[in-house]
Amino acid sequence: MVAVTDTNPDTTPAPAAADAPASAAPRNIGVVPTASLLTGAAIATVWFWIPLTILIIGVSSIPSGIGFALSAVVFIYLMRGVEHVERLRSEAVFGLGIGVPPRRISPYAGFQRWLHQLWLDISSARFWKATAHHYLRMLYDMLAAGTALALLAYAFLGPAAAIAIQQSDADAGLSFMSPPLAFLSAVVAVVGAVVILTFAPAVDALIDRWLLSPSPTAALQYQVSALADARQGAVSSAQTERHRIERDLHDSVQPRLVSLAMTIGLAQTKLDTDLPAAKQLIAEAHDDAKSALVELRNVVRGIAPTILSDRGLDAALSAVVQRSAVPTTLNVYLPRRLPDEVESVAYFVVAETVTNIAKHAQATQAVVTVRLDEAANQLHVTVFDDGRGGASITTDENATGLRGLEERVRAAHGTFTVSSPATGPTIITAVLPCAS
Amino acid sequence: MRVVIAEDSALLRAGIERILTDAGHDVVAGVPDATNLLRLVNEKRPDLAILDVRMPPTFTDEGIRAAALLRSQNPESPVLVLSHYVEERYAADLIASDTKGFGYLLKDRVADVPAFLDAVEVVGGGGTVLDPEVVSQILVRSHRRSALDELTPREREVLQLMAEGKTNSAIAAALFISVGSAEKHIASIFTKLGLAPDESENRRVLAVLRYLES
Repeated sequence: MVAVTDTNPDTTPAPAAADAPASAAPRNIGVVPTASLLTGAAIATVWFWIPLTILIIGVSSIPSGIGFALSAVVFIYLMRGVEHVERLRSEAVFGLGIGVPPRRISPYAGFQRWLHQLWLDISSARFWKATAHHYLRMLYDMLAAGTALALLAYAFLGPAAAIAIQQSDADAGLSFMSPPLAFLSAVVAVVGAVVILTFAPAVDALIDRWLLSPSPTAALQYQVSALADARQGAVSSAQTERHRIERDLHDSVQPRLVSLAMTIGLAQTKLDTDLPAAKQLIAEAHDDAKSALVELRNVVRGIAPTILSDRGLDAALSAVVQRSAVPTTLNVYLPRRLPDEVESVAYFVVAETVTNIAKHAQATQAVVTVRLDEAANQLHVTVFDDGRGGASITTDENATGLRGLEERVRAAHGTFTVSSPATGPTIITAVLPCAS
Repeated sequence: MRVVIAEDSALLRAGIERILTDAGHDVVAGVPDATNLLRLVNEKRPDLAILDVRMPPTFTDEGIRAAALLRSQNPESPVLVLSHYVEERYAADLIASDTKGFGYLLKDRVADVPAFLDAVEVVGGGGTVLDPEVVSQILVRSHRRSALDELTPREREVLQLMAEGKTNSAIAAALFISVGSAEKHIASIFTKLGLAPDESENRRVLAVLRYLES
């Protein structure tokens, strides 16, 4: 299974052409595209060979293993960088508003993630299309610019040669077209060069559109795997949450009620013989009952309070943050109500994190920040505590807290990150898309 | 005192009735939903209406809406709202206009029978009782924190008790201090928060809560 939540900034869709301020309408010809073509051709004369050489070295050193691996990695990184630059160039020159195909992100961590990510990249159509695009465009630019250059060279040298040959010795046996014809052909050559330089970039734009834009199939495949992933998150988060509720009730409310029943039973036996002791026991039972109420309320609080659907996230957070055992400050910026799903996931993240801090963090203070980024239409939930740190998303059966949160956030197509060095502090962030 | 109760759980309704009857109050009627309560209040004109928040048909905030309606129809009729959960937002809605004869408590508080009966007396007599949790909920929110940070821990405690509608002497008793030093703390709080000192406890609750909510 592959997590497809993508945090890479370059995968946010490029602005549509209409939105790009510098390019009110896509332009395929003009000074900038021509300059781009010439620059591209000039760079290509040198650059063309470098990645190619690396590739050839890599292939030829397959037997040695290390050499192959090294050049393969360099080649992949080079091509990813090149793709990024090509996209920037295309957008700056043509302003076509080509969308960026989604990139699959490895769900693993550490070295395994790095390897898996390399594999995901080279097995994606996006990577090879971008590589093909780069080479096709360089070839085309060199061809177009080369032809134009040749035509221009002819326009200068042709008439000169015609005149020189006409004035040379007839004995030399040289013959060339007559000077007037040469001048005429020079003019034609110049016009040809200008036409090529003017209109050739239009084909560049076509190449960009063809190879840089995401294919409908790839986009659908991405969507399918994103949905499958979210579904997986939803299923396992529901499971994890049931376990959590069961454990919470088992750990807090049940023993409290057992103790209550025992205390009352004991009081009953003492009522006739030892009245003061019976009174004492009843007072204890009273306290037990009240504690059970508080604990039960805290468990239920973490699930789905009515005020959340009734008055929204902002109103619901007051109570959940207030019941934190660690002094906690709450900052909320929510100018409007959000989709139900987003509100309930955000609430769940805050409720669960605040409980975790009280249980494990040994913190002296915590800060909960919930802020809507209106431009990106994303909800940012951040919970900070100054405790001992060392929290991580584990698959350990006993530490389901953070994993449950991660699954729940993933189910809502969001991203969940934990920063918790062993010395603290801990910062937990959930970013949830709010598209309704 | 003549009381009507709206509470959908028969068990709790009977429990509250028993506590009130034992204390010498007259429970005029007990109903399981808000619609019947509104009718009853208009018919029987009780001295106090006690409502649950979650009642049929939707089990969300019927009690809050009924309380708001009651208070707008009969501003003189005291209302005590009980709930398994208190929410500062609901409290803010209900005290927006007036704090006279209003109470909002966690159901847990009923278990402390003498304190609950005190609250019934205070609200029935036109006073205000807010659950301490309401005030703590408002305090965790970050707005106006700068001025609140200037309060000493003792002054915060006093502020909380003030917002619960306690009198100066009740505050002094709760914190085991003299009435004189309680008054000094209160004066200091009003100065730090830039509020006009006011003699009436109810106006004081309103001022403090408006300050905290702003």
